[in-house]
Amino acid sequence: MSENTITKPSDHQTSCVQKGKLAVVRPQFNTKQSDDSLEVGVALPGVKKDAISVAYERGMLSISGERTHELKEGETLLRREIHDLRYELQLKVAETLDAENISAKFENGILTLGLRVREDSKPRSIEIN
Amino acid sequence: MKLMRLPYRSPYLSDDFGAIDSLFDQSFAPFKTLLSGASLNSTQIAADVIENEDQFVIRLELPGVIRDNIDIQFNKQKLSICVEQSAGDDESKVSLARTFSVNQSIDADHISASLADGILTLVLPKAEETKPRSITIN
Repeated sequence: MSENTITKPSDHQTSCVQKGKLAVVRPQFNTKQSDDSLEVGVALPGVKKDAISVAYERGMLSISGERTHELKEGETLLRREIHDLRYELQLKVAETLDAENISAKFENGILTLGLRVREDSKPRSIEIN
Repeated sequence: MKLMRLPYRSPYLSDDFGAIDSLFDQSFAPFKTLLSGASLNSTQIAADVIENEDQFVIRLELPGVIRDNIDIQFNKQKLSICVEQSAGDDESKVSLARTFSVNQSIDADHISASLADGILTLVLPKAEETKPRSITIN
């Protein structure tokens, strides 16, 4: 457990981000797979749902989203670790997946994409006559 | 780092720059955390602390954490946030915690918390006696 005092201004108020230009960061992600589907969970904390874009083009799935937090009048920043940034992730989608039907939901800062394995690519057992 | 990548690589998705990126991430992680003001403990929850005349606002980065897995305690001028986060698969859980000590009096009865888009926002109103006030001359 770490401890921080919040009433003492920190030396780290300035972020490495230049004004007007957001740093690009690759988000953390997880994949979960079963025989007929694949789920990708991308962590996009602090990004608003409307600021997320998911695009699929020529076998590539592109995910991006920006987050910024502006200070209101009279507010002073004592500590800053949640930086303004732009998340970008590009994933190559295998041909065995059905790229036409990708589902997406955004909950608790996690973007969950659902992809299904194409019918003709599913593992199957062959019966012996 | 909040989420742990599963150890195996999916045959369905590949991330062309992943290997190079992770090499960079690993090599420069200590510098990155130093620059960001966080401690070198990589499991620390990232936080913003903002102050104005009436209150302190603490924002914590908690992607994928649900409300029921967050425990917030304020005791003896110390604010502790304990979190349980699932690490990719459903079975394994990671516990994270962060404590802030507050040197000013806080109106503890009116501390509020809200969770949205993976950010937990805590508002700690300052106690009346510590707020700046102007004194009128009679």
